Amino acid sequence: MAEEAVEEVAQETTSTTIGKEMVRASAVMVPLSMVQNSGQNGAQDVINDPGLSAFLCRRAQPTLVNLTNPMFRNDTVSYHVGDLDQAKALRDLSGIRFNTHKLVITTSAGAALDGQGGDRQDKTQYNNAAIETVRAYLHSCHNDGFLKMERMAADPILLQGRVAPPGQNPGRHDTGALFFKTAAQYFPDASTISLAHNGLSSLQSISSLSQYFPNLRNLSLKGNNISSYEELWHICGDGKLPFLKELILDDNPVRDKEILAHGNDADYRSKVTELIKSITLLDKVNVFRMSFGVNLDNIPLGKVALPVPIRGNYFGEPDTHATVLEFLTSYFGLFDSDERVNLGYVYKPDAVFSCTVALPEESLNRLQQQLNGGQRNQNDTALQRSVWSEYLARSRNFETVKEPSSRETRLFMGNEAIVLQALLNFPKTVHDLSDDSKICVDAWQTRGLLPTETCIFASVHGEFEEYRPGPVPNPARKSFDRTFILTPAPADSFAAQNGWKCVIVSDQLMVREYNGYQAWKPEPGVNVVPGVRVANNQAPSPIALNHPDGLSMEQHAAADELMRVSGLVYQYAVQALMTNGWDLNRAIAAVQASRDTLPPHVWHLG
Amino acid sequence: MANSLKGHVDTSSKGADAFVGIYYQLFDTQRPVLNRVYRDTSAILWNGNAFSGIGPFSEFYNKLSSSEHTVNAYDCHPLPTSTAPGTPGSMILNVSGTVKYSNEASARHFSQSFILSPDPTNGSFYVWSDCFRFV
Repeated sequence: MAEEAVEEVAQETTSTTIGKEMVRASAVMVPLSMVQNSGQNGAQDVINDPGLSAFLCRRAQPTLVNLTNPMFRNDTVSYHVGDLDQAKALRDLSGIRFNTHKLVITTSAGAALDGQGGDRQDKTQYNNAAIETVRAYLHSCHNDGFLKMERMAADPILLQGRVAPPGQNPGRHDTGALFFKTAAQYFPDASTISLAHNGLSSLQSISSLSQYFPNLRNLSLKGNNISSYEELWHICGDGKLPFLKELILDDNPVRDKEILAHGNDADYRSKVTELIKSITLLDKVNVFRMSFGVNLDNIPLGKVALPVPIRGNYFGEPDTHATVLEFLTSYFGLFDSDERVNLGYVYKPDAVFSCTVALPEESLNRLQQQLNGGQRNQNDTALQRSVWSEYLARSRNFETVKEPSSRETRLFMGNEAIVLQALLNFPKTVHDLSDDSKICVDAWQTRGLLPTETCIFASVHGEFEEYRPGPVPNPARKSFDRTFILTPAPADSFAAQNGWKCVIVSDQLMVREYNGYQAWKPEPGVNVVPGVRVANNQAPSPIALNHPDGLSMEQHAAADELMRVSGLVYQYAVQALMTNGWDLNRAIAAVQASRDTLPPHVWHLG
Repeated sequence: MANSLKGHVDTSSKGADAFVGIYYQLFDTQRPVLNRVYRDTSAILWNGNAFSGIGPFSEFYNKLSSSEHTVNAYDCHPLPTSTAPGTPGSMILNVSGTVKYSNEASARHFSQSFILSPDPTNGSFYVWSDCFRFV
């Protein structure tokens, strides 16, 4: 379901830039309001002045602003604008004068614009004055690695600078991050912080503490208003503050309640030391733990021994090897070129194609949040920068796409639909086939699957780069798994006339986050079949058949016939023919004669 | 041709759901039962190692550590293999996910491609071929 929601978002976009698209879908309000200027009347006249909107648009340049839906109320007018860029351009004008009156401009899109330049008039934004106040305060309360940030609501520096302490304005105006970020700038090595007597009831406002002081050792939260153990999760959950040794929670309801109920704090101590496993001193009393000298996190867990080694590329027969490599080289060459549309004749008229985005659920959820909220989380650069929208819009992941109708529409049938509705909508790509350690191919020929012809199954794993227009960083790199089912190109087909030996019956593409190419690296000493780079005059084989040029059509036909007559498995039919100088009759006779001595695995079953 | 394949899209989709639901649970908790979905003719490839049929393959997986598979994505295509109109033909099923073996510290990504075909003797579907890779 997460994926279908994301797909809906992606489909609303019509241009190539991502991130602003969500806002475009719903217009942004930019209300303008007037401030009386020293008793002068005429505020309403200013607002109603027909030249006001033209003035604003002119001053907002170079951003092109289009103001719509004006609504007048007393000394306020509000407009709609189409996107965040316009809203920001106008908001940045706040404070300018029009006809001697100062304009105050705010926007309801303030949350999305935060961090992109502040509103000069709003004191709770982090303007220079606030930062200076915080800096001065921190210097006043720092002493030798100890930040004594206590009773902040009564601190004279903060009062004068009118900066609220953390926890006073919960939500996006909370100053916690401002304090800790600034503190980390000036006192990065502070190992002891006291936040005693600050009236904190939720620790969410100081949750950035773990981000800016990850090595913190001593923390006091004495005399606050913390009433539940869950609050501790904001600062110590999920591996945050792993080096915290001392914690003080005296004079908080969470502790006082327990003492009232049980007459002692044993339960409280048990719960807190369970939640925060690193502390050795709680409320100035030692914490004892039994240790076994074993820390599982420090024991390097090896990889299990696999019963068989990892081998490189697999090709069932030498013939398959050459055919598949040639096909892949041609296919990706055309896919990467400006003539991708010509792939149309490489697919059969009744071929099928689909693509799937194979991301684990957490990544998909993050991606959805990011696309929905237009948030710029700087920590999410990898996922953020590799854009997925073209694939997500068509992703046929059965894990998340359950509706039969969706599953049907996302299966592209017929070469026209495949090329026009799917392939041409994917970004420009580069598949670099020159380094064959970066690609892994498993392929073999199979008979009896399709009723009238042999086909080749080829599974390719590798990576590619994407190039997109617009402000996304380029290129984006992804990993992919692609499975083809190929049949011989009919002699009269456009494909055959253009030199293609195979055409595509089925093509299924999975795209994933880039994951490198180590997983299929063959173990040392294991027989390796050279990969995608097709060297001239070289048809290496995994079974040590040494035929320099690959099989010709007649040889292939002879092997087929020998297979049919004698029951030998294909590769041994080839071997038998080679041993007998490609004389079919001689080979048949030879096989008959030695039938009893040949090992069982050279024969077809059934 | 394209139209007859359309009819199979839904059947094969449901078949894919059912197979994925069964296969990895068997592999993780009841490996011996896997021999019901393979045949002696199944062509199996595991990280470049070929096994012809369930016999050699079961020898292999009996030696493989215990596993825990997580499927992130799967997709299937019906194939134009049906010889009798109306009966479902084979399908190709691709799976992407992660697998954790016994006490390994981290899971490995894998990509697996099955071709599932009807058994002519009893109509139930089995693994015609199975191609598995760590990716």
